[in-house]
Amino acid sequence: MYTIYIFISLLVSVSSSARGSELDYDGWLQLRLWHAFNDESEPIFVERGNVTVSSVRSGASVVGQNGLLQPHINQLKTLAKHDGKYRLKAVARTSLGNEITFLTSLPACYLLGSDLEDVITIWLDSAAEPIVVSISSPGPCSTENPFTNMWTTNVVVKYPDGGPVPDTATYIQKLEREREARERGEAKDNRSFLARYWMYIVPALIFVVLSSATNPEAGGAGGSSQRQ
Amino acid sequence: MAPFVRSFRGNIHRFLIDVQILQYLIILVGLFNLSLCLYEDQVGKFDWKQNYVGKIKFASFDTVSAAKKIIVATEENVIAALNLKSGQILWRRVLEKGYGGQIRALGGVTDGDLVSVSGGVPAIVRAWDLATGHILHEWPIAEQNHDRIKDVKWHIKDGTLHHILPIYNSAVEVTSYDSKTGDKLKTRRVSAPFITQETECVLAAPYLACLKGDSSLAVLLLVHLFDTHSQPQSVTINTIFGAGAQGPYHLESILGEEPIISISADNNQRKRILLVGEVPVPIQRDIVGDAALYVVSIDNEKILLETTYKNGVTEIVASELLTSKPMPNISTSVTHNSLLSPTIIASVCPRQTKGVTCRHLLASEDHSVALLQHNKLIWAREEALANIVAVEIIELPMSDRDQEIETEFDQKESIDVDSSWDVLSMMFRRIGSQLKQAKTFLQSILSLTPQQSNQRMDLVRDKFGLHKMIVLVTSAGKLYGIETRKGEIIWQLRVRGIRGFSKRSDAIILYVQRGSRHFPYPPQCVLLAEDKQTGEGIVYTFNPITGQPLDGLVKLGYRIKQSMLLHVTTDDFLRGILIFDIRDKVHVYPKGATAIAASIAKNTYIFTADQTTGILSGYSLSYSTSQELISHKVWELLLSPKNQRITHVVSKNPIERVHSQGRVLSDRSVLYKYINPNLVTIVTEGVGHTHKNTLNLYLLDVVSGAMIFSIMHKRVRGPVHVVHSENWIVYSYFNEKSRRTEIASLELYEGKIQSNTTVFSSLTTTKLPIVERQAFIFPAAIESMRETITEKGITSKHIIVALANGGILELPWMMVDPRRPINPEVREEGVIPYMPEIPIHMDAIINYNQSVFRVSGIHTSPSGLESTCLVFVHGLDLFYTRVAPSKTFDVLKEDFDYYLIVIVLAALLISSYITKKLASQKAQKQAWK
Repeated sequence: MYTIYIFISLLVSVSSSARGSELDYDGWLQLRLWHAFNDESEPIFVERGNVTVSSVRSGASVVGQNGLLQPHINQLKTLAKHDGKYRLKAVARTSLGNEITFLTSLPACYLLGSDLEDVITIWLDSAAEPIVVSISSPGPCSTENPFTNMWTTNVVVKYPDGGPVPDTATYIQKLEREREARERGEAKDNRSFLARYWMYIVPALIFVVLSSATNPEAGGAGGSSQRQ
Repeated sequence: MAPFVRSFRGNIHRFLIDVQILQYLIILVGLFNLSLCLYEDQVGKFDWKQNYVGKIKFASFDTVSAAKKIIVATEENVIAALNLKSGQILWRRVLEKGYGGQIRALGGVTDGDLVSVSGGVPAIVRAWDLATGHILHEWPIAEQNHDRIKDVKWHIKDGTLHHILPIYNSAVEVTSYDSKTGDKLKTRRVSAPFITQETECVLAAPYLACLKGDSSLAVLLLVHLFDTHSQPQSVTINTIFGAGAQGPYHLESILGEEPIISISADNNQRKRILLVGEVPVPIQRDIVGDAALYVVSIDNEKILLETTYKNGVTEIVASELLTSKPMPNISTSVTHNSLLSPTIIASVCPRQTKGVTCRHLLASEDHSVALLQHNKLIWAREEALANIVAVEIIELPMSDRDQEIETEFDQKESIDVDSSWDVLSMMFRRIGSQLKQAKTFLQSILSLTPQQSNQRMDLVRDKFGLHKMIVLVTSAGKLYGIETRKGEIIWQLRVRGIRGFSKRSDAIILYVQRGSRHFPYPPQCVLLAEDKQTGEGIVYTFNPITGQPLDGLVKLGYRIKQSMLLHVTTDDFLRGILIFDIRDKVHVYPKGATAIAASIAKNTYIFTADQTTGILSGYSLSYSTSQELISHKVWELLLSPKNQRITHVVSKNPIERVHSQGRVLSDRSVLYKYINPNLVTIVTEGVGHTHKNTLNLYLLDVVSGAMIFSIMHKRVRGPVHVVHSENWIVYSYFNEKSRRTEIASLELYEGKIQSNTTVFSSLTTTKLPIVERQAFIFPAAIESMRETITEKGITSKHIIVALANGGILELPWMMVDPRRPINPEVREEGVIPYMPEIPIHMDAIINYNQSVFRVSGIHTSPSGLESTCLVFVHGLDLFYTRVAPSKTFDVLKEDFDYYLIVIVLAALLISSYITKKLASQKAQKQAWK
């Protein structure tokens, strides 16, 4: 059960500092966000803001972005009406100086339904380089005007868990315990079969005798004398 | 007291009897357990195995042993002996896999001992027993120049192995070893200062022939390898060809015992041959460029065999080598299906009382091998089957009678629910078909001529859907249809000029566009591959039951990046394929399916993964119009090739069904499975110094582009095998630290509540699943893994594991369940306590003693029975069987006693009737009293 709790806590905790030791490196990360609301196959990207993750290990981040303008909201609404996708381009700059471009999208109606609340998840690989930047929104789906034009953005940084290893130590301990228990048992047990199991045999015998006594065919004196 | 004692004794007696019964019961249960595996008389009843050797590299007739045979060495690193009369494998030895077992030379058969050189650094020399194939001697050659192993030439003669290495700008180094003991006999250096890196050299023992220069002034230099004092002889190209021959020239050593080389000129239009000796003798005769040459000697006379292939006719023209005098009694011409541009790789012409009869071993372009005796094909082996790249198992069509019934209830009309059913016409059709049935029945009774059927009588669907057709695509571009009952090859097809996708490790893609359920439409399969010359995509459609090509080879004119089979069908039940080209444009094949494809384009997504750049992208087709499909990128991510290299992209089997949505825990609550059909496993191996020997596994939702989970193993390396099914992933790898193979398993759960009970959507589900994980030690090396699949997914899943020792293990998924508890306090149903090692039970080896080697893949397919799954294992050998992971719960035992149950039922019925009668009589009598 304990492992399950670890997993759950892992999933719940936004900054998974509990298992930060899996990551050998620490560094910062900067994301520049561009988004597109146009309802066409070719996106027209507009600057949205930027996210700075000061420490990838702790996941601490600062989000700086402007609110949406009314024309953009209208565009978003038309996009949502046509069941279109809001696209987000993220250009990540790592502490090593690499620049990587990511693209992610989600149905526009979810953004409207959650009043511009979204979660940006950054997945890192074992070398602390970003491999995925993805956007998600809790929803629900709606095409109405949002209450606010300000973004509520959560940034989550995730990195790979350590792989499982065969748990031989616990198993060997368990075997040891069992062996010890058996040895302890065997040390005392050099008595005969009857001496060892008399406590089971006697009640069984009594039961057999009793049942035969109550048997009408057997009947008679033997049974009654037993009862006396 | 006495009665008590008596009764006590009686009880004891009864007790003893009970104990005996108990013992019997225990034995019975034990027997029951034993009977879970195969009985001896069931061997070969449900399974078959075929052995292959692979594409022939070297071959030699063994005429010295008592039993005549052919010794072959193949590209699959196999040395085998074939029966001369039947082509069956007498013995076969499988050497090391890959580079380490590559056979470099084979020789010494004429001297009665077989010597092979295989591997790289160090090369291993083995001497084999010709009769049994046992290794007699084995020793390694310590290579001095590690990087020049590919330039080394080997010569085996008279029990001596010569290792010949040209040293640039100085000499040729010849090191001789005793081929049996490995003793170094002699090292010579023959001066040859003209050899540079560009010089083309061939071995025509005892000479090394090198071509210097490329123009008409080119010179052929011959070095005698065993005479250190001799000077290199030189022959100009002009003395061979006369004036006017154009380069580039190409040098080739002619197979056979004699030191003869051929030089081709004029862009391989013609060639001439040169006898190498003390005085080199050029033969002044032009030979066509595409003729394959072989020199065989009859009574010390050298005969040249020229093999040409034109329009299905193979012609072997024999002529005396020196005089060019034709020898019509040896020349042959043969037309046979299993020959395709063959070359003679071994030939022997013994003189017998009747005259000379030649036997030629021919290796065709499609990897098949055939033995030709005089002008008759004795046998042929389909060695292309040793290298299968794609497999599908397809249902057979219904029998003619069933098809008639099917036409009677034609599906298209029976969907008509608007009360417009034409009752009269239906009745007429019914009566008509019944009349027809009556007619055939009468005919069969009166033993009249049976109706000519357009299909083989036995190639029909059986009651339980166990008899199927396996469609195989081989790397040689040859297609086979094999029926599953006996493993007989029903049809074969050659598709020329295709190759596998070079970017996807030579994979050829096979889709079933229409199954055989849609009578009268024929079943249809489609092959996607690359054109050999241009690398552009090709599509080839064929009927998988008869092997008839349907539309022929269609050149697409663009390179294929990704493809997908649509799940919706057109009006004639044909499933279209979406082809995604490298310019991100989407095509539909056939064109007629575009409208159907466009109608579901809103929810159609395609993803691509590029191994070289590490970029994964997802595309949506939602902006498509009904005429054209338009893709636009919706997500992109980068698995930086600096840190990791993608090795596997594994999605779930698209036909898989998950029956149970959750798992019942010990407290009776339900843990719901995370069943995401769009989930794809991506495995990468770390590159570079710091990340070497790391293994990353990512779970990616390819519709939303969201990462679901990632895990990293340190100090492990491949080979990695991944099985992805339902809500779990099982993968194996080699642990460097502990030096053992391990299996890890992941299992995904949504939790105690299910987010959407009816349908899963990647776009609405934002909550990440709970991932259970566990690792196990596996005490054997794994070659391949695959999960079983059944029609409805009710049967529990097993994993079919091909082991390196030739066994195929049926491993219950329960054994690798990550929820196996370490400290079993609360026992859950069907969960075994954790043990770090997975035991291999011998009765779980489904191929018992029929070992299969070099397994490259396992294909599983559901049968008509829910309990049974068909398994096809391919590699060097083919093995087919069926497994029942939850035992055959839906089939009566073969020896089920129908009579007994009928008798018992009848007796019960009669006795109940009689007792009723008797009881009423008794009641009557009592009433009278």
